[in-house]
Amino acid sequence: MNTSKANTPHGPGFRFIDHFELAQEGQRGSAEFHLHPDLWFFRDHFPGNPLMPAALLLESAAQAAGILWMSLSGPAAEIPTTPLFVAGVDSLRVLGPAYPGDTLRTSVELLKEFGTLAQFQVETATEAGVIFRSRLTLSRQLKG
Amino acid sequence: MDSTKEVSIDLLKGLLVENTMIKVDPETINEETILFGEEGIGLDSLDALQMIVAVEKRYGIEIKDPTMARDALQSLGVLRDWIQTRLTSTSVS
Repeated sequence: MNTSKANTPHGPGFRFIDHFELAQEGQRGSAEFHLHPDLWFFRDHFPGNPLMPAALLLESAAQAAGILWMSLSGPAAEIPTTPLFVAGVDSLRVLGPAYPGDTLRTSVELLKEFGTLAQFQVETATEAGVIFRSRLTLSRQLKG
Repeated sequence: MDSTKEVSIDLLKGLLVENTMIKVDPETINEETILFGEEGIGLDSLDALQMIVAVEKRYGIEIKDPTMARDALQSLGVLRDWIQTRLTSTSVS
């Protein structure tokens, strides 16, 4: 495994990956993100019953997919400056909650790269088991 | 023939309905209907990727680049012939 601190084009307040490991074989990798209890979204989602929003589980998985795509595409130094965009989400399942103090472990595999698009299978787990699964498509271009 | 290798317009239309965001009644799609672009039923590059993944999974045929995909995905009739040609060449070689 090639371990690296996660670099994404996002600002620190919207970065949901701490570390990323690129597998030596195959087109896959894994990411970790620790859910510090002070993270901004826990206060209001929900008051007195904090959970990571499903939309942010999707964002975290998309960031892991983006890091994998960039890691397979070129030098790591290019990663922070290369924005990618979510173009499609298929077969999304939220299978359980993510609480403050949990660590998200996301496995991601590149299924198909095609022009400016790439499709990935992603799965996120906590200590309690798999909580999120989806097939994501990222694009190098912002569709307008 | 192995049933998973069957190639028919109805079967390909099923893949199209399952894997793309078609905005027209599937009953209006025939083997000559243009699938992509303004002169067709408006499928886009994401739909193309979804169809490519579906065709690869069902038939074990790799579609490597966008030019090849554009040729193969012009219409369901063209796609059927394209798949049959590759399945035949695979079984002969």
